[in-house]
Amino acid sequence: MDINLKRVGRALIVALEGELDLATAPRVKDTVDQVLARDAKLHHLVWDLAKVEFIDSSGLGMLLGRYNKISARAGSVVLMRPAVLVRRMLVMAGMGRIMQFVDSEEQALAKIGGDTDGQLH
Amino acid sequence: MGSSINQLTMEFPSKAVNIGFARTAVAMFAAQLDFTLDELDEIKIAVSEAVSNSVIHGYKGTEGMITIICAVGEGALEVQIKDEGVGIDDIEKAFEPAFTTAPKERMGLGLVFVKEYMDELIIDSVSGRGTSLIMKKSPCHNKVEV
Ligand SMILES: Nc1ncnc2c1ncn2[C@@H]1O[C@H](COP(=O)(O)OP(=O)(O)OP(=O)(O)O)[C@@H](O)[C@H]1O
Ligand SMILES: [Mg+2]
Repeated sequence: MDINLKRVGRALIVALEGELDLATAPRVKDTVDQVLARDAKLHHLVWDLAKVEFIDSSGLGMLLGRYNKISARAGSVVLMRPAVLVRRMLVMAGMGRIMQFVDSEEQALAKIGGDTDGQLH
Repeated sequence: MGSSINQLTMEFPSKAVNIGFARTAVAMFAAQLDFTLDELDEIKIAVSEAVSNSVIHGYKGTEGMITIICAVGEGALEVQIKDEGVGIDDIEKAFEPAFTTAPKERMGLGLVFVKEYMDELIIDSVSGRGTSLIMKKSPCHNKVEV
Protein backbone atom coordinates (compact mmCIF):
# COMPACT_ATOMS: atom_id res chain seq x y z
CA MET A 1 0.00 0.00 0.00
CA ASP A 2 1.46 3.32 -1.12
CA ILE A 3 0.44 6.34 0.93
CA ASN A 4 0.95 9.84 -0.43
CA LEU A 5 0.19 12.88 1.67
CA LYS A 6 -0.36 16.43 0.53
CA ARG A 7 -1.53 19.46 2.41
CA VAL A 8 -3.72 22.09 0.83
CA GLY A 9 -4.54 24.75 3.38
CA ARG A 10 -6.59 23.12 6.09
CA ALA A 11 -7.13 19.94 4.11
CA LEU A 12 -5.03 16.79 4.13
CA ILE A 13 -5.15 14.92 0.83
CA VAL A 14 -4.32 11.24 1.21
CA ALA A 15 -3.72 9.33 -2.02
CA LEU A 16 -3.71 5.56 -1.61
CA GLU A 17 -2.49 2.96 -4.03
CA GLY A 18 -3.01 -0.78 -3.64
CA GLU A 19 -5.33 -2.97 -1.59
CA LEU A 20 -6.95 -1.75 1.60
CA ASP A 21 -7.47 -4.61 4.04
CA LEU A 22 -6.42 -5.82 7.49
CA ALA A 23 -2.79 -6.03 6.35
CA THR A 24 -2.60 -2.43 5.13
CA ALA A 25 -5.33 -0.38 6.86
CA PRO A 26 -3.43 -0.09 10.19
CA ARG A 27 -0.49 1.65 8.47
CA VAL A 28 -2.79 4.13 6.74
CA LYS A 29 -4.52 4.76 10.07
CA ASP A 30 -1.23 5.36 11.92
CA THR A 31 0.19 7.60 9.20
CA VAL A 32 -2.90 9.79 8.94
CA ASP A 33 -3.47 9.92 12.71
CA GLN A 34 0.13 11.04 13.27
CA VAL A 35 -0.26 13.91 10.84
CA LEU A 36 -3.60 14.92 12.33
CA ALA A 37 -2.20 14.76 15.87
CA ARG A 38 0.75 16.97 14.92
CA ASP A 39 -1.38 19.58 13.22
CA ALA A 40 -4.57 20.74 14.89
CA LYS A 41 -5.17 23.17 12.02
CA LEU A 42 -5.97 20.32 9.66
CA HIS A 43 -9.75 20.19 9.53
CA HIS A 44 -10.56 18.28 6.37
CA LEU A 45 -9.62 15.00 4.83
CA VAL A 46 -9.68 14.12 1.14
CA TRP A 47 -9.19 10.46 0.28
CA ASP A 48 -7.90 9.97 -3.26
CA LEU A 49 -9.06 6.41 -3.91
CA ALA A 50 -8.49 6.26 -7.67
CA LYS A 51 -5.73 3.68 -7.30
CA VAL A 52 -7.32 1.56 -4.60
CA GLU A 53 -7.96 -1.82 -6.20
CA PHE A 54 -9.66 -3.51 -3.29
CA ILE A 55 -11.40 -2.61 -0.05
CA ASP A 56 -13.08 -4.72 2.59
CA SER A 57 -14.58 -4.03 6.00
CA SER A 58 -11.16 -3.41 7.58
CA GLY A 59 -10.56 -0.58 5.11
CA LEU A 60 -14.08 0.76 5.57
CA GLY A 61 -13.70 0.70 9.36
CA MET A 62 -10.44 2.62 9.05
CA LEU A 63 -12.12 5.29 6.87
CA LEU A 64 -14.98 5.60 9.35
CA GLY A 65 -12.53 5.96 12.25
CA ARG A 66 -10.78 8.88 10.51
CA TYR A 67 -14.20 10.38 9.68
CA ASN A 68 -15.01 10.39 13.39
CA LYS A 69 -11.74 12.20 14.16
CA ILE A 70 -12.37 14.84 11.50
CA SER A 71 -15.97 15.28 12.64
CA ALA A 72 -14.66 16.04 16.12
CA ARG A 73 -12.79 18.96 14.49
CA ALA A 74 -15.99 20.02 12.73
CA GLY A 75 -14.37 19.29 9.37
CA SER A 76 -15.51 17.24 6.43
CA VAL A 77 -14.31 14.14 4.62
CA VAL A 78 -14.41 13.74 0.86
CA LEU A 79 -14.02 10.56 -1.20
CA MET A 80 -12.32 11.17 -4.53
CA ARG A 81 -12.87 9.01 -7.64
CA PRO A 82 -13.19 5.49 -6.22
CA ALA A 83 -13.36 2.65 -8.77
CA VAL A 84 -16.75 1.01 -9.30
CA LEU A 85 -16.28 -1.88 -6.87
CA VAL A 86 -14.74 0.29 -4.17
CA ARG A 87 -17.55 2.81 -4.57
CA ARG A 88 -20.14 0.05 -4.23
CA MET A 89 -18.54 -1.04 -0.95
CA LEU A 90 -18.43 2.54 0.34
CA VAL A 91 -22.09 3.02 -0.51
CA MET A 92 -23.10 -0.31 1.05
CA ALA A 93 -21.33 0.74 4.23
CA GLY A 94 -23.38 3.95 4.31
CA MET A 95 -20.40 6.26 3.67
CA GLY A 96 -22.36 8.13 1.01
CA ARG A 97 -24.60 9.54 3.73
CA ILE A 98 -21.78 11.10 5.73
CA MET A 99 -19.05 11.78 3.17
CA GLN A 100 -19.22 13.31 -0.30
CA PHE A 101 -18.08 11.67 -3.51
CA VAL A 102 -16.14 13.86 -5.94
CA ASP A 103 -14.34 13.39 -9.27
CA SER A 104 -11.42 15.78 -8.93
CA GLU A 105 -9.25 17.65 -6.47
CA GLU A 106 -10.83 20.96 -7.49
CA GLN A 107 -14.24 19.54 -6.73
CA ALA A 108 -12.96 18.17 -3.44
CA LEU A 109 -11.62 21.54 -2.38
CA ALA A 110 -14.81 23.23 -3.51
CA LYS A 111 -16.84 20.87 -1.30
CA ILE A 112 -14.69 21.78 1.64
CA GLY A 113 -16.02 25.23 1.01
CA GLY A 114 -12.94 27.26 0.22
CA ASP A 115 -11.72 26.58 3.75
CA THR A 116 -8.12 26.34 2.59
CA ASP A 117 -6.60 29.52 4.05
CA GLY A 118 -5.83 30.41 0.46
CA GLN A 119 -2.42 28.81 0.75
CA LEU A 120 -1.35 25.99 -1.49
CA HIS A 121 1.57 23.72 -0.62
CA MET B 1 -19.18 -31.64 -2.60
CA GLY B 2 -19.22 -35.26 -3.73
CA SER B 3 -19.17 -34.74 -7.47
CA SER B 4 -16.46 -32.10 -7.42
CA ILE B 5 -14.36 -31.90 -10.54
CA ASN B 6 -11.56 -29.89 -9.01
CA GLN B 7 -10.41 -29.00 -5.53
CA LEU B 8 -7.87 -26.82 -3.74
CA THR B 9 -6.84 -26.89 -0.10
CA MET B 10 -4.78 -24.18 1.58
CA GLU B 11 -3.58 -23.94 5.14
CA PHE B 12 -1.79 -20.92 6.56
CA PRO B 13 -1.17 -19.15 9.87
CA SER B 14 -3.54 -16.37 10.91
CA LYS B 15 -1.37 -13.45 9.79
CA ALA B 16 -2.92 -10.39 8.15
CA VAL B 17 -0.39 -10.56 5.30
CA ASN B 18 -1.88 -13.88 4.20
CA ILE B 19 -5.36 -12.45 3.60
CA GLY B 20 -4.49 -10.91 0.23
CA PHE B 21 -2.91 -14.13 -0.92
CA ALA B 22 -5.92 -16.19 0.20
CA ARG B 23 -8.53 -14.09 -1.61
CA THR B 24 -6.46 -13.91 -4.79
CA ALA B 25 -5.84 -17.67 -4.82
CA VAL B 26 -9.54 -18.44 -4.35
CA ALA B 27 -10.52 -15.99 -7.11
CA MET B 28 -7.98 -17.55 -9.48
CA PHE B 29 -9.31 -21.01 -8.66
CA ALA B 30 -12.89 -19.77 -9.18
CA ALA B 31 -11.95 -18.39 -12.61
CA GLN B 32 -12.20 -21.89 -14.10
CA LEU B 33 -15.97 -21.34 -13.96
CA ASP B 34 -17.20 -18.52 -16.17
CA PHE B 35 -17.62 -15.90 -13.48
CA THR B 36 -17.55 -12.26 -14.61
CA LEU B 37 -14.74 -10.04 -13.29
CA ASP B 38 -17.28 -8.40 -10.98
CA GLU B 39 -18.27 -11.77 -9.59
CA LEU B 40 -14.62 -12.68 -9.00
CA ASP B 41 -14.25 -9.40 -7.09
CA GLU B 42 -17.28 -10.33 -4.99
CA ILE B 43 -15.70 -13.70 -4.20
CA LYS B 44 -12.50 -11.89 -3.18
CA ILE B 45 -14.44 -9.71 -0.75
CA ALA B 46 -16.28 -12.66 0.79
CA VAL B 47 -13.01 -14.58 1.31
CA SER B 48 -11.28 -11.50 2.69
CA GLU B 49 -14.07 -10.97 5.22
CA ALA B 50 -14.14 -14.58 6.37
CA VAL B 51 -10.35 -14.88 6.73
CA SER B 52 -10.14 -11.47 8.45
CA ASN B 53 -12.76 -12.63 10.94
CA SER B 54 -10.71 -15.74 11.73
CA VAL B 55 -7.62 -13.57 12.30
CA ILE B 56 -9.35 -10.81 14.29
CA HIS B 57 -12.07 -12.63 16.21
CA GLY B 58 -11.25 -16.33 15.98
CA TYR B 59 -7.65 -16.10 17.09
CA LYS B 60 -7.75 -12.56 18.54
CA GLY B 61 -4.32 -11.73 17.21
CA THR B 62 -2.70 -14.92 18.50
CA GLU B 63 -1.46 -17.37 15.91
CA GLY B 64 -3.54 -20.32 14.77
CA MET B 65 -4.13 -22.12 11.51
CA ILE B 66 -6.76 -21.20 8.94
CA THR B 67 -7.87 -23.76 6.37
CA ILE B 68 -9.55 -23.02 3.06
CA ILE B 69 -11.02 -25.77 0.93
CA CYS B 70 -12.36 -24.77 -2.49
CA ALA B 71 -14.21 -27.01 -4.86
CA VAL B 72 -15.91 -26.55 -8.21
CA GLY B 73 -18.48 -28.91 -9.56
CA GLU B 74 -21.80 -28.71 -11.37
CA GLY B 75 -21.17 -25.12 -12.32
CA ALA B 76 -20.83 -23.92 -8.75
CA LEU B 77 -18.00 -22.83 -6.50
CA GLU B 78 -17.94 -23.91 -2.88
CA VAL B 79 -15.48 -22.39 -0.43
CA GLN B 80 -15.04 -23.52 3.14
CA ILE B 81 -13.01 -21.33 5.49
CA LYS B 82 -12.35 -22.60 8.98
CA ASP B 83 -10.45 -21.75 12.12
CA GLU B 84 -10.00 -23.40 15.49
CA GLY B 85 -10.44 -20.19 17.40
CA VAL B 86 -12.86 -18.98 20.06
CA GLY B 87 -16.04 -19.66 18.07
CA ILE B 88 -19.19 -17.56 17.88
CA ASP B 89 -21.53 -17.44 20.87
CA ASP B 90 -24.62 -16.21 19.05
CA ILE B 91 -24.58 -16.79 15.29
CA GLU B 92 -27.87 -15.00 14.67
CA LYS B 93 -26.53 -11.86 16.34
CA ALA B 94 -23.26 -12.11 14.39
CA PHE B 95 -25.25 -11.67 11.17
CA GLU B 96 -26.92 -8.44 12.29
CA PRO B 97 -25.54 -5.35 10.53
CA ALA B 98 -23.51 -3.21 12.94
CA PHE B 99 -23.13 -6.05 15.43
CA THR B 100 -19.51 -6.42 16.44
CA THR B 101 -17.65 -7.76 19.45
CA ALA B 102 -14.43 -5.98 18.45
CA PRO B 103 -13.46 -2.99 20.58
CA LYS B 104 -12.80 -0.33 17.95
CA GLU B 105 -13.32 0.76 14.37
CA ARG B 106 -15.25 -2.32 13.27
CA MET B 107 -18.54 -1.73 11.50
CA GLY B 108 -20.02 -5.19 11.89
CA LEU B 109 -20.42 -5.50 8.14
CA GLY B 110 -18.17 -8.41 7.15
CA LEU B 111 -20.81 -11.14 7.33
CA VAL B 112 -23.35 -8.81 5.71
CA PHE B 113 -21.03 -8.53 2.69
CA VAL B 114 -20.50 -12.30 2.57
CA LYS B 115 -24.27 -12.83 2.52
CA GLU B 116 -24.75 -10.14 -0.11
CA TYR B 117 -22.04 -11.39 -2.47
CA MET B 118 -22.39 -15.16 -2.21
CA ASP B 119 -25.47 -17.22 -3.14
CA GLU B 120 -25.42 -19.32 -0.02
CA LEU B 121 -23.72 -19.14 3.37
CA ILE B 122 -23.66 -21.73 6.11
CA ILE B 123 -21.94 -20.97 9.41
CA ASP B 124 -21.08 -23.67 11.85
CA SER B 125 -19.46 -22.58 15.07
CA VAL B 126 -18.89 -24.07 18.48
CA SER B 127 -17.93 -21.77 21.32
CA GLY B 128 -14.34 -22.48 22.31
CA ARG B 129 -13.76 -24.84 19.38
CA GLY B 130 -13.80 -22.79 16.21
CA THR B 131 -15.79 -21.57 13.25
CA SER B 132 -16.47 -22.88 9.77
CA LEU B 133 -18.03 -20.87 6.95
CA ILE B 134 -19.21 -22.61 3.82
CA MET B 135 -20.15 -20.33 0.97
CA LYS B 136 -21.42 -21.12 -2.50
CA LYS B 137 -21.73 -19.14 -5.68
CA SER B 138 -22.60 -19.85 -9.32
CA PRO B 139 -21.85 -17.63 -12.28
CA CYS B 140 -24.90 -15.53 -13.10
CA HIS B 141 -25.17 -15.86 -16.88
CA ASN B 142 -28.38 -13.86 -17.03
CA LYS B 143 -26.67 -10.73 -15.84
CA VAL B 144 -26.66 -7.97 -18.45
CA GLU B 145 -23.14 -6.69 -19.01
CA VAL B 146 -22.75 -2.99 -19.76
N1 LIG C 1 -14.26 -16.68 12.79
C1 LIG C 1 -14.87 -16.08 13.83
N2 LIG C 1 -14.55 -16.44 15.11
C2 LIG C 1 -15.15 -15.85 16.17
N3 LIG C 1 -16.09 -14.88 16.07
C3 LIG C 1 -16.45 -14.49 14.83
C4 LIG C 1 -15.87 -15.05 13.66
N4 LIG C 1 -16.45 -14.46 12.57
C5 LIG C 1 -17.33 -13.58 13.06
N5 LIG C 1 -17.35 -13.58 14.41
C6 LIG C 1 -18.23 -12.76 15.29
O1 LIG C 1 -19.26 -12.21 14.50
C7 LIG C 1 -19.26 -10.77 14.62
C8 LIG C 1 -19.72 -10.15 13.34
O2 LIG C 1 -18.77 -10.37 12.28
P1 LIG C 1 -18.69 -9.35 11.07
O3 LIG C 1 -17.59 -9.74 10.18
O4 LIG C 1 -20.05 -9.21 10.48
O5 LIG C 1 -18.37 -7.95 11.79
P2 LIG C 1 -16.97 -7.50 12.44
O6 LIG C 1 -15.87 -8.39 12.01
O7 LIG C 1 -17.17 -7.33 13.91
O8 LIG C 1 -16.77 -6.06 11.79
P3 LIG C 1 -16.26 -5.79 10.28
O9 LIG C 1 -16.36 -7.09 9.54
O10 LIG C 1 -17.18 -4.75 9.72
O11 LIG C 1 -14.86 -5.33 10.41
C9 LIG C 1 -17.85 -10.42 15.05
O12 LIG C 1 -17.78 -9.18 15.74
C10 LIG C 1 -17.50 -11.61 15.95
O13 LIG C 1 -18.04 -11.44 17.24
MG1 LIG D 1 -15.55 -8.95 10.03
